[in-house]
Amino acid sequence: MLKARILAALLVAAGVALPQDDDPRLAGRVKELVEQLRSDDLIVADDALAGLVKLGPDAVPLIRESMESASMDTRLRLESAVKQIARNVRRERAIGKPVAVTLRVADRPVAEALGELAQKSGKAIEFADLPEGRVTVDVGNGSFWAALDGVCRSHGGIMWRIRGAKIAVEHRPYRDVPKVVLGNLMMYLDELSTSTYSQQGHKWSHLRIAGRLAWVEGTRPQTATLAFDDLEDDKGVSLANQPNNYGGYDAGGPEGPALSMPLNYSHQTVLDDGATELARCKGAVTVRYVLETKRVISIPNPAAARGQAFDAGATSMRVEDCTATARTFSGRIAVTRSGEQRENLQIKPSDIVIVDKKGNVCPGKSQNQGSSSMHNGTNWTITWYYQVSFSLPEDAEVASLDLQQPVDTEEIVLPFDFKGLKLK
Amino acid sequence: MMPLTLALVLCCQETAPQPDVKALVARIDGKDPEACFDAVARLADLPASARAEIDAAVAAMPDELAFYKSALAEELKTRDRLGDKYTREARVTIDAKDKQPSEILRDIMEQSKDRVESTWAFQGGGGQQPVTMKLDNVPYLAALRTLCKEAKLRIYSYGGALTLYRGGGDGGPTFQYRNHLVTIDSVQRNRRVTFGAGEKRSLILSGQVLCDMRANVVDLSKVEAIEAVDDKGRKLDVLPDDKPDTLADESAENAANANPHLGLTMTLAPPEKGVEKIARVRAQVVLHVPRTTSRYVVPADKPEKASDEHFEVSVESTTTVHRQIHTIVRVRPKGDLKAFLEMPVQIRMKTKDGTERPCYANGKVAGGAVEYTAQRYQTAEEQMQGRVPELESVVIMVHRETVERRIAIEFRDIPVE
Repeated sequence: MLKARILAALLVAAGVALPQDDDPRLAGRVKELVEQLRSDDLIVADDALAGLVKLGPDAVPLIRESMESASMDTRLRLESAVKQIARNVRRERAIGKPVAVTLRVADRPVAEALGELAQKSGKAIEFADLPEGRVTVDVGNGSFWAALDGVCRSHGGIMWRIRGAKIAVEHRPYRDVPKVVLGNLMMYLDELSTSTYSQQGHKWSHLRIAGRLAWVEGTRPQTATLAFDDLEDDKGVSLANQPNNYGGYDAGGPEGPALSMPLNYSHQTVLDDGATELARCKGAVTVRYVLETKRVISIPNPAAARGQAFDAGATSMRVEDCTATARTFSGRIAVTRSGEQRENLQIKPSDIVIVDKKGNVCPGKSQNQGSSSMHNGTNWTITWYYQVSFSLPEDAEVASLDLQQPVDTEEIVLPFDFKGLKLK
Repeated sequence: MMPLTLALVLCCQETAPQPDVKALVARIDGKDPEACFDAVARLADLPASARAEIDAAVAAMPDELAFYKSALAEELKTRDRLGDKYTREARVTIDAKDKQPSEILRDIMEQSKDRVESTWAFQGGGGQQPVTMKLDNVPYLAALRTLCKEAKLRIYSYGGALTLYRGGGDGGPTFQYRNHLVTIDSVQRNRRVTFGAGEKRSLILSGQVLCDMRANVVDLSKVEAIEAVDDKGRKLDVLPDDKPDTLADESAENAANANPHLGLTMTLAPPEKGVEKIARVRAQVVLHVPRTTSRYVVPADKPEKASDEHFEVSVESTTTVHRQIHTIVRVRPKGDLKAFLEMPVQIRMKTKDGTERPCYANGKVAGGAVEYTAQRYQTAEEQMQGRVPELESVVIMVHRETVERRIAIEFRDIPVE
């Protein structure tokens, strides 16, 4: 029962409303599902487990109560249900509830349509001095981004733009960018540039595709990676056949509040000069949310700890140099890890965070600056170097520099398959 | 007695033998741009008494030399406007036979009054093959370029000061004028597809303006390409800068830069296939020089706030790590923050050996102020002597008003393939 109370407290802290103890319908449903859980028929038992998870945090105290009289097997299943509910709470906290919008307007002035969208979605949209025009949009229980794009498309002379943490609609021709919308997320491709450089007798080519992942307030992911499976122009030049296909953004994300992060792809190739479209453009954006982290190392008052190594097991972190005030910290950090498998020793730059005196985790800019490694025949020892920069809000003060590692993550994949993308 | 002596000196200066104005104007023939601009620089440095003769000679120049005429007119206008702040060109004479490059550099620095930072090029005895060079009354930058060519060195701008490094290839096309070196570091054939908005093709010439501290430049405002001609004699259109038209940005208004931005780009229509060189590019570089500057000196041992009616300036923290001095400077404008963000800011550190050096600095907007993180690196000389610099004070300059300084530039035969 104590565990149930702790979980309930956690759920309350997470802003999740708990049920009244005397909700007879919920109690009846929990009782019914717990009965089904005892079934020898695995399908019935699995359905019951899914049903309990679906009831959400309201059901947790009742599930806990039913554990007291349950067999070992049933008890394990009930504990599994509670764990899944707790994870769903964390997931919802990180990813946010989908903002579903219904916008059905026919031949309405654009300002009115945008106003209605802002009101229905609860998302502020900045616009001023838009050209007059009437729009027709029919989005039923759809994404905020789909509705916003629909308004701009219908008008033709306006376009949305994401400015830091603000969404604006501007007077400029509508751009039908390649995009995929999934829940609160939207990925889109902004531009493709291809260049041939000559520099001091050297020559090289470079192709870059720049896109963006956008989200609605409160649903910021930690990283996003753009990858192409198939990318070819209409002259048959394959643009995705090189191994240095990289993307993503793992530098602690954009500093400060933001509603988008870049998606980049580049390698040393060039479009055919006569290409007029991308015949195939297929791939996916993988968006990563961290639901739970574990503090591995904490360096209190990091500005005063320069050169001092802080250890935890086979991991060690030290501040090599830094410049700091009460609410800023920037410097070079070294993290050393040892282990048999080299690939398991990787640290993501965004795993280094500042924690303020109120216990808030403050992400900042963090960039990998290379590494050095040694192998003694059994173990690898790798030291990673990072340049970090943190700027806390006005009323916050730096308490510690922490190395955190995700223990529970959720990945959302936005697949895309654009055909015949115009290059002219 | 003193006033009389002074008068005599001034009189001697005015009556000292002057280069022949007509001969200098005759050198502006459009054949060799550097010779033409050398003549422009020397004409601009002549005393005011020569102005009427210059004007008359320039008026007689043919129309095809209009680019150089306007360059000279702009230079004379700048000189009149800047008055005492106008920097005269330092000229040097070098007669070196089998001399160490470091000795020749010292000679150039002595004659040009320390316009070049002590350099990393000779650290550890490198770049010391003997060099022979003979130059008579040439701009000091021309002498420096000759030394670099002979000793396989390159000129860089290092925190706002010129310095020399070893190696780095032959360098791209370079144009030199007075205290400024303008380089074209790369030529880029570019095709930019903005999804949903079409494509743009261009040829982008990228480089930088290197200038010594006496050039007094705080910023590069823009580059206005005037004309470009390919090696087949066809004109290439000058295009607007090829900037991405993105649908998102990350709080760009949050950044404030305290480094002089001296990157240069010129965007042209791409030449046809088969063109190997851009035969000629002419442009005007528009630089900002300070007009009204608020200067604050905050002693390192008494980091009190400096304040006046415009700004409140404080040094938040100072540390020396690996012989680099790091400091955080906070500038709070008493007026409009947006207007302040438009003003160039320079941060310098004065060390206890009496030198004042520019720093690299980047700023961030925080709570109505800007916090700059500035670093002063150990100089080559300090490193070679094993000296750790000791900070005496931090100097913050906010250039509240600037004026434009236009310099004409011309490149010939830029390879594009």
